[in-house]
Amino acid sequence: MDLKLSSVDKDFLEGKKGESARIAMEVLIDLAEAYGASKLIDIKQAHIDGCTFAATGQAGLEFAEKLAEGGGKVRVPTTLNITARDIQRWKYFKVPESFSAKSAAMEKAYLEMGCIPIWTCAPYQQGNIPRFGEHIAWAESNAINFANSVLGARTARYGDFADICAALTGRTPYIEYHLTENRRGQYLFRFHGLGNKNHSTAFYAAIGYLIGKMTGNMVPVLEGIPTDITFDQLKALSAASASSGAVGLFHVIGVTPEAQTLEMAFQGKEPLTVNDVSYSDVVKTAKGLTENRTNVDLVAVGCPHFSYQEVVMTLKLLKSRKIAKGIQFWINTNQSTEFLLRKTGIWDEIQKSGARLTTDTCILNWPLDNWDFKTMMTNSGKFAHYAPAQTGLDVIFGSLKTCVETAITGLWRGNYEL
Amino acid sequence: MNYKSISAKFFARGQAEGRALVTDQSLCFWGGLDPKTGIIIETGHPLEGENITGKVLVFPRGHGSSSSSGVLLEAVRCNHAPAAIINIFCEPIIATGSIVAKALYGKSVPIAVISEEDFKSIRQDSVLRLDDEEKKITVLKKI
Repeated sequence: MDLKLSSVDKDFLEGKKGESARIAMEVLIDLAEAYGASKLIDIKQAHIDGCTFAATGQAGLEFAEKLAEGGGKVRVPTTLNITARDIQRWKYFKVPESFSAKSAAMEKAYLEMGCIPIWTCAPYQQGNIPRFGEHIAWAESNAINFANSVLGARTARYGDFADICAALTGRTPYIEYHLTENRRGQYLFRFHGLGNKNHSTAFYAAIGYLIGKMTGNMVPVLEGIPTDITFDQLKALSAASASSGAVGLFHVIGVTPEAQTLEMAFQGKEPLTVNDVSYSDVVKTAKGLTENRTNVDLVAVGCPHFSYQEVVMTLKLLKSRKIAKGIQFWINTNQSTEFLLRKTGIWDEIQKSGARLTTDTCILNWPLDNWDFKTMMTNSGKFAHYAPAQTGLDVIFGSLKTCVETAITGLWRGNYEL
Repeated sequence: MNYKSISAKFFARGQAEGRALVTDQSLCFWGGLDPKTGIIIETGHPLEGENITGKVLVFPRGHGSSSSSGVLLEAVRCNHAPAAIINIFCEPIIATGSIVAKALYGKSVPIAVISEEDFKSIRQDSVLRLDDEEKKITVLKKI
């Protein structure tokens, strides 16, 4: 199929709307041609993942500065994913000064282009909520998965740079999950015996991890998931399945908007693959994420960023107890949540326990070399997946409750309770 | 001598030649590749510890983070990118890194997509030549 460009697309390509927009259109056209797109479409908004210095390095900074210096301005509302440092407290978290300066330069370039600095990997809990069926261009694998699956908006699994190119032109290739037929479920996971127990968020992260490993590039459909699954639990499922696998869209029967029934999820067709999963398969997946260690130095939660409610839950689990000496307990979140937590006094209570909130970034994105950590514990499937390579730490995976109990004593007691 | 050739669809254009580094496991460059050395760092991955610099990196598909585009671009800047990539399914996340490398540095990493059957025929350390104009991969040296 040949790509047909609109007159607006051609104006961008001919540089009539500035040099940066021309470069952006060139990238989008290359992408569209590679994937056999028939056209580019308008997007309502964008979310940028390419703004994290730690991930894209000097090359990402050079690209951002080139676009900013070339007069690039976003043409649709565009939010920013995490940066590579806690903007307010990077010194406290022992971020090297030279690294902080590079991160600041990256932040400046994206702000110059008119992006909204929410600095979070969970834009959908910080005011960027696309409506059902809306075409958007999001990058950040967990956010893509959440937007497509839970909100029913439409985005491809964009990588760094495709995001800003779409934002600078307001256009994107008509590919992948933008098309209704590509949103059809293909792989059916039938969950058995999960009941309606009050499962932890980590339990759903383990489910995400399991389906991500098995799905390949098919669209998974989950049947038998308790319908009381929360927004935060769907967030954990989105993040884990987009880490262990390439899931950019999943359907949960009776929960997600395009999957009120199996027929809806499969668009009236049959699944290509069917797999039965039991409660013990999920627990086995969780155990597989855990190294056999007992002494923990760091407990890190908030991947994706904790919501206000998750911070409240953490405080409840702490029950006015203090984090053990020598243990760091870090809650990764964003400045908007911090603002609210300070208003209600929850921020102060968290501080009193010895736990610390870090905003704008997460532990996978700045060097931890100045801390003497060996083993971390987390309730996040995504942290558990990436931390060994990104931080060099051994990982113990467990529920938030187990994370808190471990932080109080400094010892993990081999509890796999989810 | 007649060389074996494999027909391919190119997701990033260009010509390249190199020794095949093959895995049947998917790969995520963020947390999987150190762009400053070209070494695969994903814990437990079959290619862990291998250097991809100048190799034809053969893996079925990408997975995971959106940042893989950024890591591939940084690997190009650091001269530690693979010579080319061969997939069965090419994710936009992987393709974008190569496309932007061409726009920013005038260098790209050709990406070819081939059938599962042809994918299975590629041997570790065989020497491959990729050509987007002829839309094919030639096996120059079979192992």
